[in-house]
Parts: sequence; structure tokens; C-alpha cells
Amino acid sequence: MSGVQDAGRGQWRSLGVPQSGPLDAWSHAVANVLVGNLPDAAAIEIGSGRTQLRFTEAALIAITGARTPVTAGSVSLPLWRPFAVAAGSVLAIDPPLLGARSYLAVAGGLTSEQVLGSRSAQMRGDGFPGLLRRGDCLPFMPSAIEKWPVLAPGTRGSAPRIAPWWADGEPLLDLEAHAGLRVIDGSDLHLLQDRRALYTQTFELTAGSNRMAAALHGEPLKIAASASLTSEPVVPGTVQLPPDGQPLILLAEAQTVGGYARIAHVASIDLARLAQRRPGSVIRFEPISIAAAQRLWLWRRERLMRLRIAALARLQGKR
Amino acid sequence: MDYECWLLGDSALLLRFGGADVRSANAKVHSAAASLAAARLTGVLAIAPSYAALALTLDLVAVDRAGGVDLLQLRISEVLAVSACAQAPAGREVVIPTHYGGADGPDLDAVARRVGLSSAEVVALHSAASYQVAMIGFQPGFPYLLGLPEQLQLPRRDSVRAQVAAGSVAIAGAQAGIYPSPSPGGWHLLGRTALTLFDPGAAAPSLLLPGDRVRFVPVR
Repeated sequence: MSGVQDAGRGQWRSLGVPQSGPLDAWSHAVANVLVGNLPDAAAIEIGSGRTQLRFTEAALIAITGARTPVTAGSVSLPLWRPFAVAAGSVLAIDPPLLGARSYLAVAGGLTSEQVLGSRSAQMRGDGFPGLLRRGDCLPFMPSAIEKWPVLAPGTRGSAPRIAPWWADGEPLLDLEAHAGLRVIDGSDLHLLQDRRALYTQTFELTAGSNRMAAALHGEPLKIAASASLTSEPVVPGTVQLPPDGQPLILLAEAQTVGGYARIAHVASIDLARLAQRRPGSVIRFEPISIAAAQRLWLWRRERLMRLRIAALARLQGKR
Repeated sequence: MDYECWLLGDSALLLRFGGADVRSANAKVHSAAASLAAARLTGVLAIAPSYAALALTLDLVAVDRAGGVDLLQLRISEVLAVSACAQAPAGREVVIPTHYGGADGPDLDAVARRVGLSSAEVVALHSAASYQVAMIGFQPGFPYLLGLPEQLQLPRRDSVRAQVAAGSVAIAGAQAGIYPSPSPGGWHLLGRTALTLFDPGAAAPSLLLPGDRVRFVPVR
């Protein structure tokens, strides 16, 4: 499941339009800043499965996210590090060794069709851009590379030129240790018969998960039987509890209102970690205060801005 | 205006409004949404109304620069204190020509049997009522309508249809709605309109907006 993603359509929530945007917004933003783009420029979210991209024009690229083998012919290419490919190059992105999705940004950003102010793909098309299919052609601004002569691509047929700098973006994704996801209490948490169960038991991420929701499976969480709830706004990160007691974590493409108990909300900073978990992965929750979650998000933004300044300086040939 | 403020995770606020019934709470929601939209509060990305609550999604960085979430909550309370005196915006009235029954409304006869009326009486009741768009959700452009006559209130269907046609006019519980695009659905289908409810390519993508009033007019 791969598709173009930018900042999404968050301003249309009142019309029931899902936000969309990347599931792992950290890797998406870092890929963009590494090639001199704004953090939310349109880039490709690549789901698991082997993907091949043929570049009809020379391009400056960065790939981030899951730990995945990337090659151009016999040349192995790095992650979290920009490189320039010549016109005619074919990039092969193999299924990830660790993590679940990769992000590929191109200098200048993709210029595919905009609908309601966004190029983001939706699983169910309904007039919005859809997921990518074999043979699709994605336009970008080929002139953008001229801004960065320090990483000029070679002529057709030449090997990729790899930048001698990189970003250390992977630690934020927690690809190996799988720490608990930090959650804020939801307004319906009190409906749980045992509130501690949310933090003491483990769940498994199921194969039924998609860009709308991460579906978890575990010992069912029991909820007060009389709870009848009116539909209320929900946001990406909201943990809903349907009557079967199996939590659903709403993701970027979730609907805008929900009628199930809202027991918790995943801290925004941890949505990138969740996006890199695969079906079968064990999910635990840990409590965090709203203030701490907000501080983490501001810290993340600061890291991204520092990375952007450093990446631009390198691209401009400054040391 | 009385409300409770909840945090919906770390980047959104949820304001809940009370009222004698859901219709009066919903009127407060639309009035508050209009006042907050007009106030253009720094860092508020979107205002999304629902039956008795509205969500404000936030750009935390912008909110932080403007003084933080606590200050934003104070601003919101100031805006809503003033708007308590204001009238809720009237909303537009939108007429939905509807072909009831047959293949367009496959549940009309079953609904009539269950509520003990004739199909014609169900159509007359459904189309005589005045509805308010309480919120839009489930799908882009799907209106949740308040105002369904009590005689027509039934639990959802026992089984979910795999495919409901676009434009289907439907009821469930105290709610009425219209499916903008084909989707699975568990509501009772009374009829269908030829109007386009949602077109993402249009400048005004949604036929209906939260707070609008709606009437159904039977057509042959």
C-alpha cells in the first residue's frame, strides 16, 4: 500500500473529510528537509512489498523510515541521507528488514494532482487521489536540483552520487526496542471496569490494520455495560473501544467522528513509532501527561527545524 | 455559554455543550463554532462540530508561540461568553428531491410494517419534517440529521448492507442521513436523491454544511 502524502486535509474536518497525510510524519518530514523541501511537501509513502521506481529525469532523493534495502543496479543506497540519481535510473526498494514503511522525497516535491488543497492519497478514492498502482507516473519539478549544484547528478547511465552527510532520524522511531506507546487519558477512560488493565496488559497489532486504524487484539477490555455514547469528534491517535473490547487506534485516514468509547489518545510523537510496527508486533501502553506529550511534540519540531537548517546549509555548500 | 473543555489528546480540544435536549445542545454547538471561527484564534487549524460537542484541532507550535494551551482556553471562554448573547446562525434551507421506495428505497415497505403505517404515511411523515444538519461525518459530506419524527425511529438494520448506493436517503434510531458515495451501511433506506452530496473537486465540496436545515420533497 503506497501513495503520495503531504500535510493532508486537516482544514476540512467539519465536512467529514479524513485528514490523511503520512502515518509516520517524522520520517516523511526528515526525507523532505534532507532534499531542501518544506517538511510537509508531497513525498511517497511506501508500504511493505518490493517497489521499483524508474526516474525519467535526474533527481535528488532521500529515503527514510523503515530499515529497508535500497539499490540502483548493483549500487546499495543509504537511508536518511540524500543522493542524486541520473536520468534513467531504476531504484529498487525491498521489503523492510525492520519497521513497516519508507518515505521517498524528491527535491522540489511531487506535483501530482491536488484535491481540496492536498495531494494526499486515500485508500478509498471517492474523488480523492488513490493509492499508487504499477505503471503510475508521478510528476515532480526536475529543475529543483539546479538549486543544489553541490549534489549534481551525473549524466544518464552514471552511478548515484551520495551526499557525505546524513540525518540521525531513526532513533525516534524505536524500530528495535518497541517501548510502550505513551497515551493520554481519554474522556471515557472511567467507563473501563479496570483502568489499570490498559497499562498492564499487552495487545497484538493485527493484520486488519490499515491507514484508517491500527486494530489491536488482546484480552478484551471490559466496559460498563450501560455506556451508550453519542458520536463525537475523534482525531488521529484516539484509542476507541468497540463493544468487543479490542482497542482501535485511529490513524491519519480515520473518519472524523466516532461513537465508541474514547478511552485514550496516543501522544502525537508516538504515532510515528506506531506507524513502523508490523502486524504481530506487541503493543503496550504507558501513561503520559498532556503537558509532557505537548513538550515532546515541541521538542520534535525543534529537532526538525535544526535538521532543516543543517540540511540547507550542506545543500548550499556551506560547511 | 456553559460548556466543558476536554483535551482530545495533545493537539485538540473538545468542547461539550449541554441542553434540554440534543437539538438545543446542537444549536449551541453551531453558534459556538460560528463565534470561534470568526475569532480566528491563533493555532486553531479546524473547528469540527458534532451533536453536542465541537473539536478544535491545534497547531501546537503556533499555540505555544501565542502563549500556550491554557491561554488559548481562556480566549475560547472569552469568545463564548460574548457569543452567549448572540443568536445561532440561521443556516440555509436545502431541499432534497427524493424518490421514495422501489429499488431506490428498498427498506420503505419493511419500515412501514414495523412502525404500523402505510408506506405512503411513512413518506408523508419523513418529508413533512424539518431537519437540522447536526454534524457531517462517517464519510465526506454525510449529514447526520436531527428531526426525524418519533413514529419513524427504529434501531438499525440487523445486517449491514455491503453496498449502499450514493444518494440513498436513510434513517436509524433518532437519526436521518444521506449517503454521499457508495459504502457499506446499516441504516434503513427509504429513498434516493439524484443530488451530488459531495464533490471533492468543487469549490464548495459539500452540498450541506453543519447547521443547515433540510427538507425532503418526494419526486416521481
